[in-house]
Amino acid sequence: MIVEIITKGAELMPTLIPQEWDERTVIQLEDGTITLTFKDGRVSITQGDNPDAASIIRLAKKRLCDAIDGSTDFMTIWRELAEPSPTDRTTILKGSGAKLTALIDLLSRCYKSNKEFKKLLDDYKARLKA
Amino acid sequence: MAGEEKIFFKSETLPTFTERGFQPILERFCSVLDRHDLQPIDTLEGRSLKPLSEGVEKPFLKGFFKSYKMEKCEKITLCNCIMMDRILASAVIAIPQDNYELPMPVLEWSETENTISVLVDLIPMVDLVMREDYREKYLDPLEKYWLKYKDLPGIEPNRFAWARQMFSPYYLSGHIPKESKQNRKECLELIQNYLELWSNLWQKAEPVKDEGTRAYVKERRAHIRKIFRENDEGAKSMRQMVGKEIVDLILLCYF
Repeated sequence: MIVEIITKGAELMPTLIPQEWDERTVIQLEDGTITLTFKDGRVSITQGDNPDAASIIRLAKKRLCDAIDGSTDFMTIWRELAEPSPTDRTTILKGSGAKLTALIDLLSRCYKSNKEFKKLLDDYKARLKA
Repeated sequence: MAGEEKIFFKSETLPTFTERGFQPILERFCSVLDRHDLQPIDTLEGRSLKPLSEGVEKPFLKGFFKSYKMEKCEKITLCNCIMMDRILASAVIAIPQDNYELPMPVLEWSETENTISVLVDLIPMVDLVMREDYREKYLDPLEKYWLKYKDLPGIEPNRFAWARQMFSPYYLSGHIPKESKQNRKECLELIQNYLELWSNLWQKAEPVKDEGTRAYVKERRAHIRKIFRENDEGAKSMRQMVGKEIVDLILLCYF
């Protein structure tokens, strides 16, 4: 389900991913793993692991939703993913959280501007709470 | 405000972003820097700084980074930019010349909708245990500000040991909630007070006469710059977002 939501967001979000990005980021969620593939100025999301991933990040689904809908201040997201200290590296298991941070930024913009995406995320998050 | 007019006169690309609800940190920096004779630097180590000084316009980074020549300093750099359309990052960092033992001001401001992150320090250029006179002359004047602002909500130790090892006893850092008007006001005052104090120290600074001290200060300063260039986690991430070339140029400007 989170795959469909991020995929929808990726379709609707501003097209600001640089063309030269060619990298995979794996996100380990509570109940599985998804792979973000950045290529040709786009991002695609697939279920499952990827051995070629440059970065591996462990993240709770609610944390991801909070980051996108602004419940967690973006400064906190930046600190955890883009400026991690040796004491909080548990989130980033390999590589860097830079590209995920950028994706969260773009999905947040989409959340603010697109009612359809907002509803999808809000409904999903409500179900997580339940 | 005279300071504002002067800095805008110097460049058309000094966006302040206050219209978007951010605090007027650039104006605070400029109110102090405008008292000095700053001459823009076009190249450093053979590299043109124009891509930064004329304004960066990337999907995840917009703003400027400007290095200036200043008497008694190799350079002083001012930056004001928006990262990912939601973090205002502003900073003043100066590198005193090798024949001055002036501390190195590192004044960093990051601001989102809800939080202001600050890092303020005058980094000592000597071993303070061996030079208590240095602490008394250059750093103890900070004590009144340190005492005033150390209890601001959100002030906490810096997370990075590599940074803490260089800092003075009067560094302050933390993430201060913006909801209180008092917090916002005090954050601006804090960073301006540290910069003003450094500016006053700068005015009184005299070249170091002792050759041994000069050599030590030079070596220590070189190490500090190297440590900053090599360890900055934010810069590592920004390299991935906006490209290695532009971020390496930013680090060259700062350090």
